[in-house]
Amino acid sequence: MIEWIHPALVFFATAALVPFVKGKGKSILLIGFPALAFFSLMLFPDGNYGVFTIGGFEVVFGRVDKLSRVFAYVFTLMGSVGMVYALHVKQKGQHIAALIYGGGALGSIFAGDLLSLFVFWEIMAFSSVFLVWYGGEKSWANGLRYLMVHTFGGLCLLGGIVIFAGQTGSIAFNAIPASGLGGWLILIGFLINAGAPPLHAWLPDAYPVGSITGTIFLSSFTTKTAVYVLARGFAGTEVLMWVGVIMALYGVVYAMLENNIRKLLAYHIISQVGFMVAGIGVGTELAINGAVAHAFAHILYKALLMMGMGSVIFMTGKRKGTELGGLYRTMPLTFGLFMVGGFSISGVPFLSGFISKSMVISGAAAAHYPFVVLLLTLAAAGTFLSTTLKLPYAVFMGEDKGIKAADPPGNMLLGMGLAAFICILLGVMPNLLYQLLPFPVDYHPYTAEHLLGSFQLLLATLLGFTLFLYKLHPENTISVDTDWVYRKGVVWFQQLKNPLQGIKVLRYKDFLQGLTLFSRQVSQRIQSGYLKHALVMIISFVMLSTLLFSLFKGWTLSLDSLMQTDLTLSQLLVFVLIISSTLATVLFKSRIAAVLSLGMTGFFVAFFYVLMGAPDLALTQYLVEAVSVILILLAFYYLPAYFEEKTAPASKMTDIAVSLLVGIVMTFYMLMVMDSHLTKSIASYYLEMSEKLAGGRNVVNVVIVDFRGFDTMFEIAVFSIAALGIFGMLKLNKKKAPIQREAALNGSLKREQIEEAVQREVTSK
Amino acid sequence: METALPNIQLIAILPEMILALVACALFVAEPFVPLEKKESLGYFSIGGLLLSGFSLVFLWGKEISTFNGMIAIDFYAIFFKMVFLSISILIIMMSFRYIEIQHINLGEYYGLILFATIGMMFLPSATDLLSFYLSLELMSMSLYVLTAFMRKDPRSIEAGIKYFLTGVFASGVILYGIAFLYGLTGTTNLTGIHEQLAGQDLSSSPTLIIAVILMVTGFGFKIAAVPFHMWAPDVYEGAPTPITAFLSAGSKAAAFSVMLRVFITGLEGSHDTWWQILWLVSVLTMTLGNVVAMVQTNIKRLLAYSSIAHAGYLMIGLIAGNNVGLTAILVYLVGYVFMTLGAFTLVILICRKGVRGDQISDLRGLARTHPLVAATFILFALSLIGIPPTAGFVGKLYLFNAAIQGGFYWLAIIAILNSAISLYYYFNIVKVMYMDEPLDAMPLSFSPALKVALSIMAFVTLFLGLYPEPIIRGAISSVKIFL
Repeated sequence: MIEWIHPALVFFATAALVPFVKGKGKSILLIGFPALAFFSLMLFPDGNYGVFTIGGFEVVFGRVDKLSRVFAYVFTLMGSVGMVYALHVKQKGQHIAALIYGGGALGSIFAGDLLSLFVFWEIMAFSSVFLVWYGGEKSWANGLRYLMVHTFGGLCLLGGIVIFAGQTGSIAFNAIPASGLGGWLILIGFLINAGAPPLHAWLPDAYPVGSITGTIFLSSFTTKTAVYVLARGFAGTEVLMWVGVIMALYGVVYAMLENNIRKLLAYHIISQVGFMVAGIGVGTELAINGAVAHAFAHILYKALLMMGMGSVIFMTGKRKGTELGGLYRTMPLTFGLFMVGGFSISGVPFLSGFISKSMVISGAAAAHYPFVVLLLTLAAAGTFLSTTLKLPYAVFMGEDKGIKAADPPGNMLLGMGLAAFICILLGVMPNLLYQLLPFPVDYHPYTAEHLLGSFQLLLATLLGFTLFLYKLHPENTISVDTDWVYRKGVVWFQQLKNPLQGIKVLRYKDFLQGLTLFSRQVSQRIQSGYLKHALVMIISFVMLSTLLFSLFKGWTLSLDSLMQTDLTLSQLLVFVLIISSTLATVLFKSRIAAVLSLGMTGFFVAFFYVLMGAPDLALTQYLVEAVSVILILLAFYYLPAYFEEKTAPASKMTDIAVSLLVGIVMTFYMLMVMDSHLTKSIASYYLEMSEKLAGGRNVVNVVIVDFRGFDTMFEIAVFSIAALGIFGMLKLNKKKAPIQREAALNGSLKREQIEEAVQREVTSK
Repeated sequence: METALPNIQLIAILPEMILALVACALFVAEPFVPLEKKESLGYFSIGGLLLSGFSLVFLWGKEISTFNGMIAIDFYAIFFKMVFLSISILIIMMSFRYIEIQHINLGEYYGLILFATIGMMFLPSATDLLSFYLSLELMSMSLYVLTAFMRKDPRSIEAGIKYFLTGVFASGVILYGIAFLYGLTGTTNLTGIHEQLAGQDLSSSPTLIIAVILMVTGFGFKIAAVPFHMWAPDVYEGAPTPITAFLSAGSKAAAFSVMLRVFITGLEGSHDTWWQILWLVSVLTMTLGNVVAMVQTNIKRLLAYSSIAHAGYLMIGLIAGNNVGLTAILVYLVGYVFMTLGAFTLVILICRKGVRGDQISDLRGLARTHPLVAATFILFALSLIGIPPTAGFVGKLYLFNAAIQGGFYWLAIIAILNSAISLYYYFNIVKVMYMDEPLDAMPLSFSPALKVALSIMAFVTLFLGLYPEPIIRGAISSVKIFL
């Protein structure tokens, strides 16, 4: 017995089947399955389905109630209608992406817990981006930016969920208080998807470059899912009301300035979603009903508008208002259907916008927010002005640019026709929609007062439009958006590149460019591949963090122990010699001289041991010094003969600074450690016991051959093995590959030469 | 005085002893195996690794501390030993075809991998600074040689020398830190150090802080954290690709496995000091790693930066220092190992005679010629970014959770921002594979073993994303030793 069919599952299954069908079968599959999902919604009563327990948390895949059901209705409906419009598309990838995207949206709608919500949320982001990318070569960068913003939003959501779940101990998705870091992070994650300024830049950036059919789905699902989750989680949060008002006005203003026809519509999405967000913010039953109804209506008429403009682009290949004009003659059907959408969005009576938009405004009025009512009404007028008057005027009427075009293919017209039909149906029979709403509706749109008010508003706007027609002519401009939020931080990256260039105007997309620029700088300058730089970085870190700690912890140095030491004249002399030979090592230009003076330093140190009365230690030190000097000289024999001085003065200064820092900090270390209270050393044990246990008076010898006899034995073994290895390598090197040595001696170890030698070796075998 | 030899339980090092014997046998057998049959040595070493893994059965559920408290066997150690054994098996399976193409199919290659594995396997068992240092050196020395193993290729030689010189410098720094700790507490045993530090208030003792700074520096080098990461891109680029993968997965996991022991078992008392340093290092590591990866054109360098960035994420768990954080590190490491190995497998696949195959542009149109391989890469990329349903997501979820529970909100937010940035460069590769036209037929260098290895990696990456329960349980019972 099938308990419940998750509509998202239907969409995913369709996506999985698409690669295997062709022709008519494909058409049936693409349109039929989403429609099937639509009807399946009617079959099952409210309740929680698909409940699992994962990792101690209850995951609910299917929470069916009125709120989720109404969104699911419009999403599945839109899936079908959108597919009709997209039937002619040959790339199956587009269909698959759209279906997975729709499935993700449905999954989010039905998610009863935050964890599965997050998973579907990410599925939406990652599938929808392909619809942007199918828009062609130029959409790549926009799509990537889109995806990055959504990933960031998704992770904000995740962070919020983790905090929220940690505080409440439950991941159930119900009303979330907009307080505390968790609540705010979740809200930010939601608002990014809703396209609220200043986090909206991805929307007008990505939608206009998406594929013609893909944009229909894009404009339907992402923002409306955000509206749903806001209605579910944050209803009645006052800040949302103001966010919504800002969105409504903001979108309209930018839409009026915009010339790219699809970008204009993209700004309108922000504006219309603003109405919904405001309604959610008001939070009364009427306002929430209004927001949901508006989302329902908006998905359909915005899709219709997008389809209309998509058809224009599809047939003419032009995207800007200034390049178009007079198309009503060649594309009459498109024009007619587009106007249905245009009048809907403006709230003309007997169309869907009329019955939904006014609900939000009435909701705000009933809740006594007169200012909100005023601003939203203003935004509504602006919508009428730009979408219904300016855009069609520029594209279909206006100056005839003599563009050869015709109405688009049948399936596209049919898709538009279906959408237009539903717009009119809802406008005429509002109860169809009202009975689906989450709260009982006691609202009648067709009152004389309301009708009169709308007509007044529309007429006044129309009058204004005719009077200032010449001013509203589209101009071929790029409007600069408020992306300055992203800009500011990036300016200095730009300056880094070329200080003379000065400050440029940077836009949203430049944020990424700035990052890549910085990245390039780092990989060229810091990541130079020089060993020296690597070591300088490590040393500087150690030194600087020590200094920082010493400052913050207020370490004090007492120099008492230093002062108490008395130096004899001969000791002082040896010190001077040690220092001067060290300096000589650094200053000598000749390598041999430098190595020899390094050896001198060692010898003087050994001499110091003699003065301190440890001749055996001094002898060992002498031996080691002699051997190491000889080894280094031997190494030089195999290295290239010349030694070019390439160090630039500036880099020399850093070297000196780093060396000095090392010297100072090391001295500091030593003095600190001598001052601090260390645990008892085991030296006294050896001094006491060496004669008793091992019967020897030379303590050092006793330690080496008796107390640590095993150590010494293994040490000798290791040394012998190492010596054997070195001997073997030297012998091997002489025997073969003369070219390598030759090349090495000339200092020109070229890849080709080596490959040649290898080749010769291989053939000779 | 009667000094008896300490009571040593040799069974504690049974898996390592088996591996050492196998490795020695390899070195002896290698001259007698003809060039075209060197592959059999590889299968022999896989057999050794499996046998060693099987011997873990005898240690299961035991709590042993032996060699004067230098080596411990507990669930934590066994957990990591299993991880390292699987890494080595996968690395050898990835290598067969590659080392044949590069003319380095010699028995020593496998032998050195085994020795490096022995070093790694001792690390999570090390409960003493000395045994820790020795194991670290055993691992590192083998890796230095392996890095320069393509000795006819100047890039490999350069990488080997760079790795060696900076590596021994870092080892010296660790040793210096050990000396300070020993001087302060009079013991090298981690539990002993903990007791000593607990007995007295040393929170602002200069010696302790200096020791901590030096330890962080040394470990920072081994896990390739910024600013000690400079070697990583060059070494990753020059080394034979399977060895690069070995460095990125094995060496990093090994360093983390012992870092937890040292910092939690040994230095927990001074958490207040070291989280500040680690916080800074972690933020630098995540940010620089991700941002610089954006402009790389060489995949191996790109993955090097990505691996740097992941070290930054992993450090979050240690900074949080709570139970969730330690669990998160283990969970994330397991996922990370499989997904990063998977990403490197792609580079191995496109390498063939005459084609180095380490440029991103070499992947053009891979989705057309080999759709399945391209799809597998998307899986690894998603996991590396941390998108469900993959292993990387589960790990990141735990890490963020740890940061938030520990009150490190900023760290979590910075990590989130960085994850968004990382999307850019992984999907840049996806774009090249899916949107560009292929240049030629692009034959891939598959071998049967490689196919099996790649399927295992893809399966585990996906499986742990869908059903992470077993690994989470394992991690939780592993970190119980720190409670």
